[in-house]
Parts: sequence; structure tokens; C-alpha cells
Amino acid sequence: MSGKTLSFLLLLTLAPVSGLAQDVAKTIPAGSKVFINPMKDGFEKDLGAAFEAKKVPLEVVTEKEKADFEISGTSESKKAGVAKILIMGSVHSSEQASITITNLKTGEAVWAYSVNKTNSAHGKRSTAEACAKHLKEKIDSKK
Amino acid sequence: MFHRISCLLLFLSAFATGTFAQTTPSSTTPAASEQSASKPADVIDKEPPAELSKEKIPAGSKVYIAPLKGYESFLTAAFIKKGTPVVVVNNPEMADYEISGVSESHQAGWAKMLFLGSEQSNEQASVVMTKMKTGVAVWGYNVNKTNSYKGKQSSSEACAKHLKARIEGRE
Repeated sequence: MSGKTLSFLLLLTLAPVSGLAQDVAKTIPAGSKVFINPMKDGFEKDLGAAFEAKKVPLEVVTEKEKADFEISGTSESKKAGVAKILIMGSVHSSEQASITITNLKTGEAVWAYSVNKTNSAHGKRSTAEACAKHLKEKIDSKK
Repeated sequence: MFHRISCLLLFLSAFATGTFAQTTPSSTTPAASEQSASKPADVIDKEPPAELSKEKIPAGSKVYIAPLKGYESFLTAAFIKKGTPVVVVNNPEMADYEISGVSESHQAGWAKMLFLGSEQSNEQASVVMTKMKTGVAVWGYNVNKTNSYKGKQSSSEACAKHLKARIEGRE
């Protein structure tokens, strides 16, 4: 077998492996340890509770050194004012939140999600559970 | 008679001198303007920044988003949702490019709710992408949404969409 053929076969073998390595870097394996960074208005607590409620297959740890991934983000909340209650007839708050999951080994963001609810039925709990639901879908999809 | 003529001549000479005195500085103005024009010519003799901003941004580049009071998280989510071909990293030393900017948000007041029937916020954001090695701004985008359907999410997705178009060479 000539050298060129060998090189070609080697290239064919390695090409899918490198593609697989890139895909693995973007996946969040079930059972991974995550550290949730402190967020505005204590949203990290709502997020932790939402992971429990939605059965997200991740283990939340309190020390960053023990974690595989870290979650950072922000949340904003605006309670319904008099105008909204009288004119729009809604007492629900407006909520928006955004979270990013970063692989601590590579330093790359592997997943992120934003949510905006104009009339949030359960305030921060609703936005946290929306994040948790979509994160669970991401983990279950294994992509 | 002689006295009148001498007065007239004196007046004419004085008038001519005054006119010459007024015209002399204006005659030197073009020379001065030529001198002042020649000075900045040395400074301008550089490539305009607009040409530098057309530099190609390779797909798969590593991007660090500087803290933007929480807006950086919305931007990251928007990049992922819109499939912008960049890798967001959390360390500027690992990055090829850095994104910085500003965002502002104004909630709907009672007048907007009453007269326009809208409770959607006004959003505006501006982001600049700089190449870390050279410090040259390679891309920038401003967005202003009067009735933002999804708040910061809408403005950040607009930025992500346009960055994707820039990387793919459509803008």
C-alpha cells in the first residue's frame, strides 16, 4: 500500500473523530456537576428550585472547583403598576431572564437561553422553570 | 480753490491707504490657508478606518463578551438561538475578538398603555466587536425597538442576526 493511500485512510479515520470531539465539547452529559453563580435578586435560588421541580438531570454543587459547568446569568423583574392593573387589567409582573452554561474545562459557552414573560403567573418561578425545562430538553437530546 | 483740491487729494490718499490696509490681510489669507491645509495632509495620509472594518471575521472565531450589566447573557443566548458561527468564551485571553457595548431599556408608562394600548418596552442597544490582536473594531451594530416584543431578547437577537450576516458575507 502506497504512502498516499495510507495518508488518505488516516485522514478518513480522523475526520469523523475530530467532528465528534467538537460535538462532545458542546454536549451537557446527564449527571454533570454544575455551579450556579450568584445572580441579581437571588435568581440562582429560583433556578436551583426549578431544576428540582422539572427534574433536570444535573447535580448542583456549592463549590465551583468541584463543578464541570457553571451557570451565570441575569434576571429582571417589574411588578405591575397602577396603570397596568387599571388599564391592562393585569396584576402579573413582567419578567425576563437569561442564563449561560459554560464548560469550565474549555471555557466555552455550551448553551444559553433567554426568556421574557410580559404577564408572569408565578413571577421569577415561571422564568426559572422555563430555563430549567429547556435545559432538560437540551440534556435529553444529547446534542 | 487750491485748498479744496489739496483736501480732496488728501482724502483720496487716506481712503486709498485705508482700503489697502483692509485688503492686505485678505490677500494673505489664501497663503495662510494653504499653509494650514498642508499641515493636516501629513496626518490624513493613512488608510481610512472604514476600510479596516471590512476585514473578514472567520466562522468559528472565539469571542469574549465583556460584562454589559447582564446583557452579555442575552447576547450569548441570541448567538446560540440564531446559529451565529462564533464560540463564546469566558476568558478574554482565549478570545480572538471582544464584544463590548451598552443597552438601555424603558418600560411602558401609563400614557403608552392608555393611548397606544401597548405595555411593551423600548429597547436600544449598541455593540462593537474588536479584534484582540490589533484592537481594530471590525463590526458594530445599533438597534432600537420602540415596542420590543420580547424585551432585551429581541434587541440581542437583532444583533446576533446581523453578526451572522456579517460573518457569512451577506452584509
